[in-house]
Amino acid sequence: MKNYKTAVMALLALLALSAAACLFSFAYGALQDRAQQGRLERRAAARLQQEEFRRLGAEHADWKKLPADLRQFRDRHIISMDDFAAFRRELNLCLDDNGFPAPDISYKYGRSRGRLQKVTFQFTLNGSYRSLKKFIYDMERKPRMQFFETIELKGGNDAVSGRFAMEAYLED
Amino acid sequence: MRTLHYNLARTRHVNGRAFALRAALLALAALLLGALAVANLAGRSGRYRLDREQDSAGKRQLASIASESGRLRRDIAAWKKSLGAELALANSLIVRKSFSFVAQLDLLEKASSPGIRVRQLTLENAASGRIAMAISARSLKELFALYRKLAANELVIKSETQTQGEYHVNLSFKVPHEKL
Repeated sequence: MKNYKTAVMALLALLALSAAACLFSFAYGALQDRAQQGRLERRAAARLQQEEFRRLGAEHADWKKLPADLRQFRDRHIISMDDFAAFRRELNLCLDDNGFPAPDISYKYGRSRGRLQKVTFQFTLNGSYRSLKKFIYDMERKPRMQFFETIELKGGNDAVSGRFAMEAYLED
Repeated sequence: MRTLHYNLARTRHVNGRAFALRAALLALAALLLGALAVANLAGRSGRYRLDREQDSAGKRQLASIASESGRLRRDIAAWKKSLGAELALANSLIVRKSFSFVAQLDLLEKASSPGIRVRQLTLENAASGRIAMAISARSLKELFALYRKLAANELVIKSETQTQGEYHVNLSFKVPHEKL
């Protein structure tokens, strides 16, 4: 009888131990899940940081290219002091092509901003609206950094009078 | 104090087969619970170890990202300081160069009907610049048709004078550059 009792006690103790271990494993799992949640949040923050780093890298690459881009921009679009005479000949040619006699043009040289110097010039043309518009179109198409600042058109009986103010940027 | 033990069994003998069956069930339940606990702990500890390894690798990577980000920001700040003014000037020149007076004239040609005569027109190269016009219209119908076309462009009618059969108007309006 005593052997049976011992066996029952041993089995019950084993069962209690197993149940306790099982409960412990579930509690441990719950704690792990909570820790895992924290890790997931940290990983999401890390992913954002990596994304930010990628954007910063792209911005850095753009800035790195900038000196070369600015040099290219100056070479292609800014009129050098040596080319300014050629530009003025080109302007006269464009006027001539559109049937305008060479007008009086007054040039004003502004202060230098960095390497660039602004030149403003004004002139008045008289002719048909079509010719004036064609002249504006031809000048706008030119790739160098010269553009109209203001244009005033006045309609007369048989011709239109156009007062043009232009700007050009010269490199020292 | 004396303790009394009562045995309510019908016989004094334990039924060996029934006992063995119940003991086996008990042992099986204990084994199952134990196996469940071991499997649960073993699976989780494997995942936990892997997560910790990944975490420490991530932390190293983040530390290197932080130091590299600092270097990149310093470089960018230096470039902004040295090239920022030139870049701003280049951008403003590009914006002004891309402004098209021909496109504005095209827009006016489309808005005006044959009964409208533009007497004076002032165009300005500025993104927020206004186009000022002095016009004559032969009829109110044509004049109001023009007003309707320009109404969406912040039309301001400065003056309107009616003479014999003609309407003289000074007006201005705004055309956003992106509409051209």
